[in-house]
Amino acid sequence: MKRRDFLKKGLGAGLLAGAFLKVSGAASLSGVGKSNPSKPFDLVAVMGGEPIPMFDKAIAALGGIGKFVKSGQTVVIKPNIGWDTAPELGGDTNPELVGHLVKQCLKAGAKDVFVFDNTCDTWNRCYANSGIEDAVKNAGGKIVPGNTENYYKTVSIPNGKRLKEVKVHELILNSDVFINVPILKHHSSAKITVCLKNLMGVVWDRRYWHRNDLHQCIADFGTWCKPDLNIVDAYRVMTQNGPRGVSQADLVMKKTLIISTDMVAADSAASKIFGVEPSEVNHIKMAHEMGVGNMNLDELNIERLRV
Amino acid sequence: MQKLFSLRWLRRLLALVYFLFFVFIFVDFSHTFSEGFIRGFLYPQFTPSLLKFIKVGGIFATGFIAVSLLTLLFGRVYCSVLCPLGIFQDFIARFRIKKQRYKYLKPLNILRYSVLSLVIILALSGSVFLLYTLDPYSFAGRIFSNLVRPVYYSANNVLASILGIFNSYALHKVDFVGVPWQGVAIVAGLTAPLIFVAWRWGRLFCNSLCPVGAFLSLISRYSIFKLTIDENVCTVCNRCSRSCKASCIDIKEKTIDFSRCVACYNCVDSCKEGGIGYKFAYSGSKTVSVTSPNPSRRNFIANFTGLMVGASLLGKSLKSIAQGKGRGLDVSNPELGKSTAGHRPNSRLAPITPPGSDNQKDFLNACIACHLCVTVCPTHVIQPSISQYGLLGLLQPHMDFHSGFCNFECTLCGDICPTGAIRPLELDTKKRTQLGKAKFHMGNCIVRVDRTDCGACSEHCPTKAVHMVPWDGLLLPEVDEDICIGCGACEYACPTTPYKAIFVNGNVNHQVAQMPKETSDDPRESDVDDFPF
Repeated sequence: MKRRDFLKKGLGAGLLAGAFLKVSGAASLSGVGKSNPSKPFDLVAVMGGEPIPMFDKAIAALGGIGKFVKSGQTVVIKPNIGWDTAPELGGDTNPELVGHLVKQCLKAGAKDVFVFDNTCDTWNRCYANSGIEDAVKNAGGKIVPGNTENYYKTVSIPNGKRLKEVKVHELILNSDVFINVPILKHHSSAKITVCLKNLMGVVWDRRYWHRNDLHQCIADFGTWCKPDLNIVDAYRVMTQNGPRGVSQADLVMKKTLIISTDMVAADSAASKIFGVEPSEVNHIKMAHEMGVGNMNLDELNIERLRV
Repeated sequence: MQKLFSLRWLRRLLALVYFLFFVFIFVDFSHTFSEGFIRGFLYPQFTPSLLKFIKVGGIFATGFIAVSLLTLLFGRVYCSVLCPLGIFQDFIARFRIKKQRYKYLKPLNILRYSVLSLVIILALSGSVFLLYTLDPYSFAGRIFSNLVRPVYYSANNVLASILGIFNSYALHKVDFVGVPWQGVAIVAGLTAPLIFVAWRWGRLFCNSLCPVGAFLSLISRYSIFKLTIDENVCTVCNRCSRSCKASCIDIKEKTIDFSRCVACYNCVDSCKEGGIGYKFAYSGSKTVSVTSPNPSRRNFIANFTGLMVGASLLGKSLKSIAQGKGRGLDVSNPELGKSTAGHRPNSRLAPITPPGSDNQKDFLNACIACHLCVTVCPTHVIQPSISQYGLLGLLQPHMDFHSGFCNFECTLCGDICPTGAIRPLELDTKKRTQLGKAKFHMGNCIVRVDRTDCGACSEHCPTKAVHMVPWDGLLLPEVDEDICIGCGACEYACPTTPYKAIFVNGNVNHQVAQMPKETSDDPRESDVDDFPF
């Protein structure tokens, strides 16, 4: 896909999402905590099970993976693989969930499923020790490096306030479908890290963001980069010492999974699960105000499920 | 007449295989070989094994004894089979013009034994600078790590790019990051003359400046089996002498100076009469015509004694220069506490040595700057030093937190260090080994100066020694030095330029950090069982 096409597509998707929000906003006046199954869900939350069954239930409620992945398409999956830590420490997205997702995409007819992250610790150790490399390979996906600058291409962020230009991994530019799979964690810089913050792993120079109002840059990037689907792993949630974590004392078993096409909505729901108000997390509030998505959960058509 | 199988071809084959493995280990970025394999592979390397034997001891550090015994049996086999710099020179010498032939040269005994004496005396008086500058193993290591590695990386990147066109990510690109250009320039500057000498005169370096060559020559004078010319069949055709890259065959006398012979066996194959081969050197036969004449040995002894006195004085003065110049200051000095403020935060008080090096002095006394740790370090945090340890520590590695930070889960450098300068640590011990302490310099911090959230330092901290505390509606970093391990993650991640707002001050003596607070092997159960929205 050419860059221009990609931008067009992104813009189109953005408009579409905006229209959706308006409609669903009107629909959800029926009341908090209730869903309207006659309309498409804005967000599906599942609680009480293992990650894979929770995902299967959630994606079914959204109409199945086939709604997002068409035959012959290329898919890029971006989990959080930021840290060289074992899966049970909750620093990286659950490897089984990632592997399962790869399988589902291939089942839906995807031509290629790529997985990568621009990691914080050394990339190949993160890939290996998070368990994600093996999970992806076993599922038939391709694990892709993001360790050097020449994998990244410059794009401009027309609606960005502080972030006007950024180098983005070529797979984000070249793939047909982009699935964002963050893990919900406490974050020493951004308060919490979910969908919006996870996108920092598709760009090259993170230091620029830290130097230039981190929260604003996260929101700015959200105006440009819109994943087709966001899956939040909130099974083992790091509630302190994030984003790396020191030991399992930092974790709480929340056993939840959130899935949505709206990053801001998913982040908002995840904040609540974490235990902070979304409006207290600056980048979520900013993204909401910039029209990236809707953080007001009472305006959304939410399906709540249990496993 | 070339025989199908000969000593010469056997040594060539062995040398080639060993050399290729050696080069690969010093340029590899994929951790292809296990630490155990690398340790075993480098076992026969003379200098590292000797240093390790002195520092750590043990059966696995006896490579230099094995090499010495081998030399006592058959001469300097090490020089032509195992010495990476020797084989490197042999490759260079292959580019000689056909007409160029070797010819007998007089031994440079005064030079080679003076250098050896000086190296020993300096090492005994506490500086291994001259040793590692001339040592063939570490010299070769530096060539491959600093000069060949970037070429290897580039070749890999070209291949990876080509595969990328076909949507394959089977190979990944790698950056040659962090290596100081000055270091590369110094290594290149020392390699260039070596290449010229090897091209022009073959193994002249090995018999003039190489301390290992000089030491082994003292043994090979007394080798039990020596290469000798059978006077009865010699036709004085001079082929052997012309093929001798050590220039040690005096055809007029029909003698081989076995102290200089590097056991390449070219002469053996060159002799049409089959007149050169190993002979028992103590049989009393007439063909024993080896070794250089006695005067040189006498010279050596005289030299050595003289040098002992002179060089030990020189050694002491050099050592004091080294210590005075930037070797890091003692942390117990009360002056240092107040000197942080007002200084540039990056000009740290003491450089940082790798985990397992215990203390700077021992590290610098045992490290021969082979740069194997520089090559294998997965985060590229270990880099050759330029000025960090002063002139006499030039190119000995330090932790450069601008090119990377020490991976919390990694102990590779200690696992592979062949000299014991970096000792192997258990992972749990390493995780609490404090290389230095993080210092927060608020005046440089984004949060304080720009009043926007940042926290990159705390984000990367593996023990949360760097944590965020509320400050004016924002979060500001704070350091708990007791649990800081000096890994440099905070310094690396800090986005400020040109000077960082947080940096690590090296511990001259490594310390043990306290355990991070509140650790557990079990996650907590959730206290809510309904959707909070």
